[in-house]
Amino acid sequence: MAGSTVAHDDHDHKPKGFVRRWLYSTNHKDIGTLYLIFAIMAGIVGGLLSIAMRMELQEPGIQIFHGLAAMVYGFEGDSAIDGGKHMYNVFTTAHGLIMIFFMVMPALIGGFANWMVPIMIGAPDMAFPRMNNISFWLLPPAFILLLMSMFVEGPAGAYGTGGGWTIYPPLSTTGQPGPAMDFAILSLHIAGASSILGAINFITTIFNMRAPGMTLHKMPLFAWSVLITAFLLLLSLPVLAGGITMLLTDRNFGTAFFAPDAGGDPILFQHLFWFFGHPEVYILILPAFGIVSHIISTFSRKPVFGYLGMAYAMVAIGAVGFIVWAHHMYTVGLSLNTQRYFVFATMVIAVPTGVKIFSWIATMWGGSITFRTPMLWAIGFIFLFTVGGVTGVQLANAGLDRAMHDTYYVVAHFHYVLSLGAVFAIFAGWYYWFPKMTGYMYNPTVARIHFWVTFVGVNLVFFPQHFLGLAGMPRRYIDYPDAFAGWNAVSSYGSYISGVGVLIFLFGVWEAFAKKRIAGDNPWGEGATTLEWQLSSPPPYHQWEQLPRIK
Amino acid sequence: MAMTNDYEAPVLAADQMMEGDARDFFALLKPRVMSLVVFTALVGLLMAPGEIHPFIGFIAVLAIAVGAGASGALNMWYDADIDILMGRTAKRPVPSGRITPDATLAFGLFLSVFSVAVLGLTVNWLSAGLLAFTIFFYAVIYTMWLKRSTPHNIVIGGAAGAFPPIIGWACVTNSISLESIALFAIIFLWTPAHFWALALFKAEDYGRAGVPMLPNVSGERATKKQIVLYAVLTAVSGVVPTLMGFAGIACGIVAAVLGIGFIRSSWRVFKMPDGDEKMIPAKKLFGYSLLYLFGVFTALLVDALVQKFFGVMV
Amino acid sequence: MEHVELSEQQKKARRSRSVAIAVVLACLAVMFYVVTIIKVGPGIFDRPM
Repeated sequence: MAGSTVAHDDHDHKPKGFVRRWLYSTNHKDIGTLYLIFAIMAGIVGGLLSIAMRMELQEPGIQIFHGLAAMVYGFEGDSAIDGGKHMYNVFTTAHGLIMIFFMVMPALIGGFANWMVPIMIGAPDMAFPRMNNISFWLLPPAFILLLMSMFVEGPAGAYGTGGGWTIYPPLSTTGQPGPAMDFAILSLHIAGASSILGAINFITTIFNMRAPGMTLHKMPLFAWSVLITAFLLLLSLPVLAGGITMLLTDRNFGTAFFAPDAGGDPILFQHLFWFFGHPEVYILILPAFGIVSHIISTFSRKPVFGYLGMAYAMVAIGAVGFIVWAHHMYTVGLSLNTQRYFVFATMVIAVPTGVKIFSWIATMWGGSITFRTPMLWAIGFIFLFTVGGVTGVQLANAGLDRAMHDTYYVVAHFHYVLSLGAVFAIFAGWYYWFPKMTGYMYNPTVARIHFWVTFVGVNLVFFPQHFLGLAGMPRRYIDYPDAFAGWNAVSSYGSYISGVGVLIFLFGVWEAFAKKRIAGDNPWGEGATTLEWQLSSPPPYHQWEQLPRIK
Repeated sequence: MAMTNDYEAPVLAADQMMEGDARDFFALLKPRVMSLVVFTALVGLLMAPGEIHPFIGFIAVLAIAVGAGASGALNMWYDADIDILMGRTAKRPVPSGRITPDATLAFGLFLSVFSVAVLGLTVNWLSAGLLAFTIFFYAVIYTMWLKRSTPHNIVIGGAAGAFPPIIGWACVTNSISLESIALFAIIFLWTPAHFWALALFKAEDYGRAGVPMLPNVSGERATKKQIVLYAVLTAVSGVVPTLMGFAGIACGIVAAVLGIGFIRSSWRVFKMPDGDEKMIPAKKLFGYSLLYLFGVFTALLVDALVQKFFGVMV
Repeated sequence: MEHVELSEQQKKARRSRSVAIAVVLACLAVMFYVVTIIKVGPGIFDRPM
């Protein structure tokens, strides 16, 4: 079987010409590639924004943003200071939205899931290939709208929307009357529509396109994770869409859903936002769980420990994820009983998450482990995600959160689970599947340097932020008292190191394509058991034209 | 899977590709039972005092219907082995090999969880809990336990079919009340006469499948007595809403007339000589029982609508 | 690995199931959107101030 796939002849019916192949693409692998390229580009933009923020925060006082504001928006004299302050908040807002909607989601769901889910379940393509194309091509306009919002008026006399990614009213309504917020809302609407279409496509594909014998209880964990993620998207995004639609009508059509002076309630928006926002963080991490499971199993040469427990732990995380949203809102004046409930429910999530962590460790236990690059990233993921999980359990306590709310402790927590969790899983998946997707082997030395530089860099960025948060440094401010100077400087150095890590990553990609080392169908050996390793590298343009029968 | 087939059947193995299309999956939901559920749940929802947004009400009825359908699918998964032995059910999607038992189980479980969650999130958790209990009652208590072990299967199991008006009522009031229990009673008491009429003329089928229906266990005579008893009880329960004062006189008269017809029809079954091959009165009773339930609930529905829109009780 | 060629009827059935699932899911998404606006939208005006 190996090598001689079902490809019956040489020409594989690729559409001819750049436009037909890429713009009109309905092939899940091509669309997956487009998503990955898009995610890399958006990640670079979002990363540059964060490095600018760290440059600003390297020392107390205002270092670069008044200059940036003068340069970009043409402020003059003292007004550049105020313009710069707002610009800093615009950067935090854009950084958050870009990294969530245009980097992590496109990479994990659009990129890896599009590429691998149909292959893994033995399907020739997604259930709706043309809808898949639409899902992707909605993203670039959404991204462009978000970027444009940074250059149009937000609050009177300043540019861009600076209310944070949570866009709470009234700052996002009466606080920023200019069109910048409308651009951002429209961008979210379009990105949301793209994700909902994608979710429908994935659910249909996984439910209905599985090869004969590929029962749900035999399905690879990555496909399981994507199935659950797609359901979270389908249920939570309409709520966000409803919330931001009301925000839009409050801003432009005189409604008062969130305006207290006319009988509305701004807290209501927070409920709506977090009813979406909390499942969203699981949307970002569940596919990462799936990828890590495969990698740990492959490089331990053992099947994953407790397969069903792993699958249903994800189901549990997804379900409970819908009933914990108000732990983001402990400080808005919830009743004591409400707070008690949300503390309890939030802590319950630690149970299935713990099941997963222990199952990964149990998979490695007694396994024949090889530390190839994907495994490094996966183990790094487990370690760093656990750190973020532990701070999460702390923050789940309403009493403690009263002190930590909106400090850098929270920033450190969610960057440990996202920037060090989800992103590490993305890189793990990248190195794991790069040989499969391209047919070329990456340079292991470069890949290892990439790992270690990134590992040191991101930990330097975010670990000190725990200390800053505990000391009381609030988030979303351009300046801070001198007392916070030391750890802020360390954090900033870390971000430059991480930036170098990204350059090494890009160099590694270029190097692999330049050297063209042939990877072979299965570079990972007998531990790699899922269906993609049965195909050639890269896989034929149309795989599984005859469906495999799974025993 | 847990499904063990010790019979020669064209049931699909899990590694076979299905030929069942969307319509076959819809058939798994027992659409005819579902239509009755939609109808009775709607009556419960409209008779309950209080307001519910029409769209939320629509979702409530939809969720109840899907939940009932899901329990039907679970029933078809579990009963595939006996369905194949009975002429009435052998063409169902699972015994006819159009859908795999695995897919049926997943479909049923998934829709159960989903319908309960949707009802809970959009309406209230009492009705969601009741729906979950209904599904559990039908799929586990009735299908897996009672159906194959006692001739009273249909009496107790009938509760599952009688729950929808209580759920519909709870969607509006977030409570269970005597009124909604009265609606429950009508369907609950109606079920035995309805199914035993069927069991009389399908006794051979049930016997082959080994399902202990009353005619097979206690004989025709005992069954006929029971039918008359339950027909009387049903006819009485039909006028209870009027006696309790939450349905109008007109509605009560309709129910009374239909009830008398029901008793008369059951009496004809009673008079039918034992060993009658054609069983025409039994078939007639089966048809009439459907008409009875439909008629009584239509009367209640009209009554509820008149009360809602004109504010008077007729 | 053993391979299977789907019959025309199986392909048609699969397509019909796919479309049905997609339509149901799309309706679900729309339903949640409308419910969000109905449940929390005008609802807030009913609340005692």
